[in-house]
Order: sequence, then C-alpha cells, then structure tokens
Amino acid sequence: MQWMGLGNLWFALIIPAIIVLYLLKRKVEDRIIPSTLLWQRTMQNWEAVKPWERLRRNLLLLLQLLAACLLVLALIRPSVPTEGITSDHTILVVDTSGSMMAKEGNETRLERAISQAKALVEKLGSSQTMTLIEAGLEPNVLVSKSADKEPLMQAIEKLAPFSGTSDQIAALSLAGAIAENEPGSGVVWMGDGSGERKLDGGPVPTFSGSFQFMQMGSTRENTAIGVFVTQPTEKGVEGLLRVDNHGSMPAKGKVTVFDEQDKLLDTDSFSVGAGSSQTFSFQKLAMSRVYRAVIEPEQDGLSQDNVMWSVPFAAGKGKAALYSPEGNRFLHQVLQTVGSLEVETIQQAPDAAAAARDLWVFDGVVPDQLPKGNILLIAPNKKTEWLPLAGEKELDQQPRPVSPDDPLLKHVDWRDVHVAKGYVLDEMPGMKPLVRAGDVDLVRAGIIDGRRMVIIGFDLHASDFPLRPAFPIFMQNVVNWLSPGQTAPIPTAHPGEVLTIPLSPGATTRTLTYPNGHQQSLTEDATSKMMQLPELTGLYRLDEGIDTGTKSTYFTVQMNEEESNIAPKSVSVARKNTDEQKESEEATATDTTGALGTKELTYWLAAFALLVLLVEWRVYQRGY
Amino acid sequence: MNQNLLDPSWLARLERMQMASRKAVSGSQAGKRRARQMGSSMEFADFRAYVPGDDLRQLDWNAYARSGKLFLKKYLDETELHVNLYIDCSRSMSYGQPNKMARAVEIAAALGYLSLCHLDHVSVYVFDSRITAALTGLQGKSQAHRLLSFLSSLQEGGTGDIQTAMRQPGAVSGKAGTSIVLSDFLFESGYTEGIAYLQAARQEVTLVQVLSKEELAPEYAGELRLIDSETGQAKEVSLTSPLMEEYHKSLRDYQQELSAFAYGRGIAFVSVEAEQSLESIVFHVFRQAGMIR
Repeated sequence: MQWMGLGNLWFALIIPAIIVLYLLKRKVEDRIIPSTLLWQRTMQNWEAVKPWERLRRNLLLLLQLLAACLLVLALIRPSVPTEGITSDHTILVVDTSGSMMAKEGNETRLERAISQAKALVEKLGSSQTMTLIEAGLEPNVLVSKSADKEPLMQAIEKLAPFSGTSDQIAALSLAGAIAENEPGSGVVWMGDGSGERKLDGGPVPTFSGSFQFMQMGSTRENTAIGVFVTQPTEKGVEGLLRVDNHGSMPAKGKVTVFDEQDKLLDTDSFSVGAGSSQTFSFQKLAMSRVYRAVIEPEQDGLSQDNVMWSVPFAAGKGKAALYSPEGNRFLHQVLQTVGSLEVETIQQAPDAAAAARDLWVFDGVVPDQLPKGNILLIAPNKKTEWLPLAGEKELDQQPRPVSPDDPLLKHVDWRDVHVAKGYVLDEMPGMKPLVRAGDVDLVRAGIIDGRRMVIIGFDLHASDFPLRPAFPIFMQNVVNWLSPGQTAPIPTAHPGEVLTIPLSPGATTRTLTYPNGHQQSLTEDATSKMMQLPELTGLYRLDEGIDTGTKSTYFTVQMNEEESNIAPKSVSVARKNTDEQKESEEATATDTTGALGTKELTYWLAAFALLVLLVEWRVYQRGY
Repeated sequence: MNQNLLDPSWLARLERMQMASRKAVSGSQAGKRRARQMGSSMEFADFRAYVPGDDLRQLDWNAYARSGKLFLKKYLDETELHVNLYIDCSRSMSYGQPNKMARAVEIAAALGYLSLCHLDHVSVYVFDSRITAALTGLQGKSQAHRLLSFLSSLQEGGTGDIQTAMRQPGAVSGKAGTSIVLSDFLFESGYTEGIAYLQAARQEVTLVQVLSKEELAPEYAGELRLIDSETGQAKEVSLTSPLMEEYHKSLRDYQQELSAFAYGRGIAFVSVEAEQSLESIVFHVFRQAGMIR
C-alpha cells in the first residue's frame, strides 16, 4: 500500500473537529416533565462516567466520522500494487551503472533486474506496449514502444553493466518526455538508486504519468579502494592507499600491491570500521612503471572496485620555489613528497627579475608583485592591491567542502580536520571558494592574471590539517593542478569520460592498448588527443614510436568512487498535477516481483464516502 | 359532572366491596362494620349465661324455652371506620393520559364511595405543600353526591411537599382510622417524615403510588433539557439506550426504596399506572393488595 498524497494527512484534523463540534453543539430541546427527581438520580450515576459516553451509540456522529475518515483516506490517495502493468504504455528504464554489478545473493543486481524486466514483458497485455531505456552514461532508447515481446526480450537480455555512472536526471527527463507525449504512459525504474549522479540540488524531473521505482538492491556492505597513488622519491617508490568501507559493519581483509609483472611487492591487512576509511602507505616499493593494488575483503558487495592501478609520476620534474620566512616543516616535507617537483627554498621575496619557476609557494608572506608562474599562497597575512584581506577570525566550525566534486578536493576527507583561526578574504574575481568554515573561505582556487593560484587561508600551524591523511592528498591535488601539463602523468579517468591524452611530439606510430588487449592506432599528429573513453576499466597503454625507441605511457580508468557506495536509495520524482501544482513525492521502493502497477483507491473511497453521506442524510431524515 | 367520575355500571359491584382494615374503631354512631366489642347489632357472636343486671332485651327466649336457663345472645357492636383519603395535587400529578391527578381522584372516588356505602366516615384531603382543600365528616351513601362533586372540582396546584403538608393543622384527623395516600411520591424533600407523622396519628396508612407511563417508560430521544414541572430545575441529557437503562434502574431503585420503607413500617404499598383502567386498579390491584375485600 502506498500513499500518494501523504501531504494531505493534515485533513485528518477534521475528525477531532467533528467530535468537538458534537460536544459543543448539542442542540438541546426543552421538555417539561413531571419531575426530574428520577433523572437526577439517573444522572448522578451516569455523569460519573466519562463525558465521551455521550458520544456512544450516536449513529449520526459515527456516520460523520466514517465519512470524514474515508474522505481523508481519499485525500492521501492510497494505492495498492497490482499484478502486472496497468498503464497502456510502459517506459522501462534499467539502470546499468557500476553499482548494479553488486552481488545480491547469487546474482548481481543487474541480473535480477533483467529477470524482473523479462517477467514484466511476459505479463504485457495484447494492447500494452513498452519502451526500453538503458540509463547509462547517456540514456539510450533500446526498444521504442513495441507491443512485440521478442525484440524486447532480446534487448533486455543484452543489457550489460558498465563501470561508469549513469545519468539519472537525463534518463528521467527522457522517460518523462516520452511519457508526456504518450498519454497513458507509466514509467518503471529498475535500479538501486545508488551511485547515480545525484538529484540533490539539481532540478527534480517532473512527471505527469505514473512513476514506479523497483528497488534492486538490499545490501550496503562493500569495501573499496578509494585512492591508490604512487610516486618515486629519493628512497624509492612510495605508495599511498585508502580503503573505504561503505557498509554498516566493520570490514577486515588483506591488501596487496603488485608490480607490472604481477610480482607481489607488499602486503598488509586492514580492519576498517563501518562507514570509515583506513589509509596505508607503502615505502620503498620496487621500481615499476605501473602498480596494482588489490584488496581481499572478507565480505564484499562489489568486486570491481577491489583493484586499482597507479602510474607513478615519472616524467620530468617541475621547478618550485618555497618562500617561508618562519619556516614550515610540514610544507617542506609535503612538497618533497608529493608531485614531481624540485623544491628550492628561497630566503627573500622574489622581485620582478626573479627566474621563472613552475610553482611559487608563499607561506605566511604575500609578495607585493606576483612573480611569473603558478602560485600557492598559504596563510596570507597582508593586504595588497590584488589580495583583499579583511582580517583574522577565530573559527568554531568544522571545515566543509563547498564543491566536493572539484578535482582539488578529490579524496580529501575534511571531517577530522580542525582549524583554529583563518584569514578573512573579501570577494576575489576569478577565485572560487572550495572549503569553508562558517563564513570564512579556507581554500580558494582560481586564475588571477593568467596564472593559476590556490590560497590556503589559514596557518598550517593553527590547525591539525598537516597531521591528517587528507593533507598529502590535498597537496598532491594542489601541486598537480598547479604544475604545468608535461610534468604530471595522465590523470585517472572514469569510464565514458572525455580525456585529453598528451602525445609526444614527433612520434611516428602511436598505438593505444585497451585493458582487454584491443589495440587502436592513433593517427593524429598533434600534441594531445581528446578521446571519449570506452566503458572499460583498467590499465590503458599508449605506445609511441619515437627516434629513441618506444615510449610507453600508462593511464588508468577507474570506476567512479560514488559507485562503490552501493547502499540502496530510492529515486524520487516530482509529480505534475493536472492543476499544475507541484508536490514532491517519493516513489517508495517496492521489492515485489511483478507487483508493478499501482491502482489508486481514491475514487472508490470517495464514492464510499458519498454513500455514507447518503446513509447519514437518510438517518437524519428519519430522526434516529 | 360527578357521574363521569365513576362508571354507573359497576357502582353496584363497588357497593359490595368493603375497605379492609385491621383497625376497627368504635364510634358513637352505628356503622356497618363489625366492632370487636360485643354490641347491639344484628350480627350474632356468642351466647353467655345471664347475670343479674344484664339487659333483659337481649335474653334468648328460645334457648330458655328449650333449656330453662337464661342465656344472653351476644351481637357484635357495628362501628364505623374513619377513612381519610389524601390526594396529591402537585403539578407533577397533571401528567399522563389520563393524568395521574385524574386517576387519583377516580381512585379516591371509588374508595370513598364504597366506604360511604358501608357507613364509614370519609374525609378527603387535597395537598401539595399544604392542604389546599378538604372535605371531612361524610357518612352515609347520601353523602356520595357531595364527595363526587368535591372530587370533580379539584385542580392541580403547586410544588408537592408531603413533609410540610402533613404537619399543617387540620391535616390529620384526630380519630384513628385508615389513611390512603394517593401520590406519585416524587417529592424533592422526601416523604418519610410526612408518612411517619400520619402513622403517628393512629392511622393505618396505605400508599398508592400513581405513576404515568411517561415516567415508567419514557419515550424521549435525542438531546433534551428536561425541566421539572414543579421546581423548574433543568437537567440536560443526551438520551441513549444505555442512559435509558440507567433510568429504569433508578426508577426500580426508587420504588424499591419506597416499598422497603413501607414494609418496614407496616404500611401497605401499591403502585399503579395512571394509564391502567380504574376497574382493573380497584378490582385487581387493590384486591390483590388486600386493601379492599
């Protein structure tokens, strides 16, 4: 049983209102009787009983209450699930995103969706039609309004999961648009609701037809590798790995790092609490062009996110200058560790004639003139013409990412970070806030005078940020973003994304090898190639024939981190009413096989209420 | 006028009845009632031997002729009974179909008439919270006319209160006798002391409670404000069948209290319904109760 208009429940207030009116109204008729002596004695016994005894056996009142209850029930629009499909035209949307690969018992969520979809097709009536949409990276109409079961069955069987994230809004909009054009349409969404591009914040698609969400997921236990990065240092290759437990129970298991030839390099065991993460660092890994980390959790919902490749930052090093008059051990250390930079510590502020650097790091000082190159500014304590500093402020709130999707904040967990005080900056054109505590921007990033700039608006010593795993990850992101293109490796991409692959100038042959062994030669003669990645996760290799031999570049395509969180969620749409009133409603998850259509009982209830009213009128006339 | 009060067709039947009374009183005039003392009436009681000084007129000469001894023939002295009829004329008596007052008056007429037929002394007192009218000292069938015309002129009055009414001077006859109280006994202030006062005046009391059908089985429904016809007191009730059951229970309790009170004091108690026919009240209810024979 579902309630389609639960918002109207406040109409139920009519019931106490009727009772109160009955108690208050009591139209009394005067009647002179010989003596009230006996009545006094009667009422003495009677009035000891509660006042609502008066209401007992009051047929009219009971009928009125019944009618009111029925009307309220009708207003909250109950509906019962009915066997088979009720709409003439069903738009079946199947989510094929990565989280649908999660195992539910012996089958994956997608396999379950496929079998339920087939059951739906088999129940199609002779006059009923179905449109099949795959909610992939882009919604894809596989079969359009077909009454023929054969092509539908074939299309459903061919459905395969992809490692990417499905665009839920686009799929809903498409389904909604089709439903709009076909009167009598109903949309059925088969999915787990998790991992999909979130509806939060975005406009909720509106529907005029019926919408039914069939929940395919039930488990939420999943452990995944959140991050795996490696980089060469003077002492060897270091690896940083984060294991995320998205489930509600603690997870245990083993984590192993392999090299390019699948030789085991290091291993460790993990034990992660519910909903938290554990970070590992591997020191002195043997040199390899590619590393592969594998976790083996004891319990796991989704196995596809248990492997992650990492390509160490191997290319030439950029030049960075660190100017920190007060000295900053954390900063010094992290700049040595992350990215591929040659860090030079300078003792005085650079002037206009200073040699160009790829990255300038200013800690606790603000240069009057911006030097050439990208800039990382930490704890700016001076107002200049380009830096509108408004003062210092004690912070009592937790830092909170403003735009968590920004590449600079990727994998950075701000929950454990505490900042004592920060510098208040006024509005700066071109710079957007990334992290905030209260109304103080802690991190801003943007472009000023043609150079990339990141401002960390607090003194690292006034926070525990450097002590958290978030710090090196954040600095890695920052340095990557501030480093010029050729020094950084090709970033990790998600399936289906558009990726810019840098190409070596002057190469004669270029071959791209896919994780499945498929090879593609690239014929472009440019310094970069933009390509849409296939929906295939794993390690990609670009071999380029240059005069010194063959140069191989690796890059990895990983499943979106969001997909690892397989907790089932419901999909909600806004219902478009005939009178254009919008009310937000939640389509609740139903798990019943085949019970798909809903039948609203509103009209029956309203008719029944009318009948009760007629009875009541009759009763009133006859004066019971 | 008064002929309406009693149906002539059964006046003859009424004449054959007699008020039952444990209290036979000797009076100055000869009544038709057997007295306990031997007297000079026609009713034979016993023989006894003659002693000098006896009235020679009472000698049984036939017995002397057969036995040669002088015997006196004893006759019961026939005395009259004082019958006092009390009629409640409070406003609550004006309900019912026919109303309780009318029924009470009819009962009084019947009882008064049969008493007159037996040469009893009949007095009628009409009361609400005081004695509003009284007709005393009737005797003999010839007075029936006075009784009936008095009774048919009665009208209901105000608030009933038997307690104060009985204490009024002239409310109680000085002679011992039988008092029959015709009332609904729905007195706000109670009835016990009033009746006790009556009993203290050497009266053999009989209580006849006249209730109308309206009181015995009210047919009200809905939301009512019940107003007392005498006191004007109002009571709001919402009549439901459980409440009705409660009312019937109260009614039963009240009647039981009344009859328990009567039984405890050796008083006869009869409850009649105003809607019952007079004939059945007199010939069945009263006879069964032993009020008349």
